Amino acid sequence: MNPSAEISTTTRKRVRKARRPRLQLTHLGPIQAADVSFGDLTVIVGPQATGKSIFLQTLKLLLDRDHIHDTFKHHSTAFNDNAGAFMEGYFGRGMASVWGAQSALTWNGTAAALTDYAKPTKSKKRYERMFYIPAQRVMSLPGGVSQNFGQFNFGDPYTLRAFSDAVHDLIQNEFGAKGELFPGPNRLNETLRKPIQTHLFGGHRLLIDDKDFTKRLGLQVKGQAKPLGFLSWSAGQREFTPLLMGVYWLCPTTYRRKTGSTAEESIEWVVIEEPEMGLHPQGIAAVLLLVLELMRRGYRVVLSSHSPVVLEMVWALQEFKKLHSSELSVRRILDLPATAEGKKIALSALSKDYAVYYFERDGSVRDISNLDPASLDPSESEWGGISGFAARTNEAIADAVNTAAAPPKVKRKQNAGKRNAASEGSAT
Amino acid sequence: MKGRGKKAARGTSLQETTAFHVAASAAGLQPRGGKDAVEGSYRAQIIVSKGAQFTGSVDVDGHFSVSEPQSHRWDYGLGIALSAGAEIACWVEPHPASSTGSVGTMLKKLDWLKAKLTTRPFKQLNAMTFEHNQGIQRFHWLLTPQGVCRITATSKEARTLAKAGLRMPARQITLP
Repeated sequence: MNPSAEISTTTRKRVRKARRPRLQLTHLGPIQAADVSFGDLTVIVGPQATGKSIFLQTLKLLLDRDHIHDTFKHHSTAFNDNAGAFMEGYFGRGMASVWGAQSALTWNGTAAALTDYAKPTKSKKRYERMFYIPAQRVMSLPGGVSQNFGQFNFGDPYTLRAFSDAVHDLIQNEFGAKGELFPGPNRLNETLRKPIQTHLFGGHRLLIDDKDFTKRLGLQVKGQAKPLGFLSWSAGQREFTPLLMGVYWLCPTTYRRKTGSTAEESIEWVVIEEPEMGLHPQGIAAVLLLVLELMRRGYRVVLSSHSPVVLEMVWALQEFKKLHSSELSVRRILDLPATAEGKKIALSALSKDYAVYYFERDGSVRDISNLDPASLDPSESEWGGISGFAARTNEAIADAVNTAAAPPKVKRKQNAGKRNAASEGSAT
Repeated sequence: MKGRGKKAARGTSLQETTAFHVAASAAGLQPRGGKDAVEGSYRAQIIVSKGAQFTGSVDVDGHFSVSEPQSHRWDYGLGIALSAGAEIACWVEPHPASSTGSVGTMLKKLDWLKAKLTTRPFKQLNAMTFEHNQGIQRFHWLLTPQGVCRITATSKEARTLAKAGLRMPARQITLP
């Protein structure tokens, strides 16, 4: 490569990286130090209780401070400048101490104190910028009936209450009269619907059943008179359905969900916690297609995940980019047909940038975006522990194979005399 | 996989008394001191664990390149003296891992090497390979420092390697 071209590429990369939103945190809950630059898709991984949700909830608060306060106010919750009460109301009961005396935060280069966010500003721009699909999403549909914000208790995490409220509005109002939620009402194109139909609903229809004067979700199985009640669904279907409602909410006929008074005032960020919950890898791949569709629509997506499938996709997309592969390679891993929609999603995925961060048990957060399987750093080569078990299994099997190939020691001792006596002959 | 014509030219005094030298000579190979038979660019990537030391090395590929030009030849063998005093043989193959297709080639090379080890001239090297074997990996796939690895731990290729007794490709190998 000619040196000037190399400099120019490096500079371009730096400029691009500099434009990435960046959140730096120290001493926030279990997080000791984090410095995260967000890509078009950012995946955060790590064991339980390492601060992934606190980190994402903090990001939401930084982006949507006024919208959050307005929502609480709309539901008659006033914090009266009590930062502790706000922390409990926002992060959840018992979380007031998340922000301590040593805590520090920098958002896009500007230092801030989370306690300042316990009060709203007087800004005129108060639209919502981030849609958050929480890990506890199944609680938004107890028994298949949607819940609004006010039906939760003070101290239930805001992100769950706000998500549930959006799903409630969608089911009760936006789609309430239509009766069918899947495969209708054509909110997603056929290319996205088919894998969901095949791998998640097994050909069944997702309905709003209002026979008992309550709009309740049901799964209509072919040949059965009554739809299956929510608790008779598979765990994966129960986890996936609220996520699907979230994707519907994010995919109106316009490109992105408008949340303010102008077209520009729309959702920009989407967080999905553990999109893989309860799903078979084929189902996870169907969900990842939805993630790529969100990115195609211009959303910046952040996932938390424990799934090797999610990281396999990110690793493959980054490798395809390095290899200048065609959209066909992307369609191949996601089993996407050669439809116009399939090609658009695949091409879009190749134009995006990706980041992966590992939240470690010791409170540190490491950039493992390269996901290099041969990295000398096990955090990266084992993908933040996600492929660690597979790696150890492979090593143990390889060692066992070689150990089994060795002549048994006891036999060698027993035969030692014979060997010494015998002339050198056959090969071992 | 080695760069032809870049063999190590630098000589080191032969430690002719080491078991590895005796075994390699018995196999008709030309043992060199330390890691000297290994191409210079790879040497820094192959190290020994604390207390162990290199007792010699052989360029297997170079030795058989004329007599078996079409074979999938393995590259290097190294002798290691363990801290406990025993001496063993380990085998290292520098090879790209830029596609999963490399796995097939590596398995052919491993088969070739294992077949060689079962022949009479390699009897002593075979014994040094498989004795004191518990928990010691003898066959290693080495990547160049900048080499791309496109084989993931969760892939079926990684499992195929394991089943054949090979670990994932690595940029640094600590022997034994």
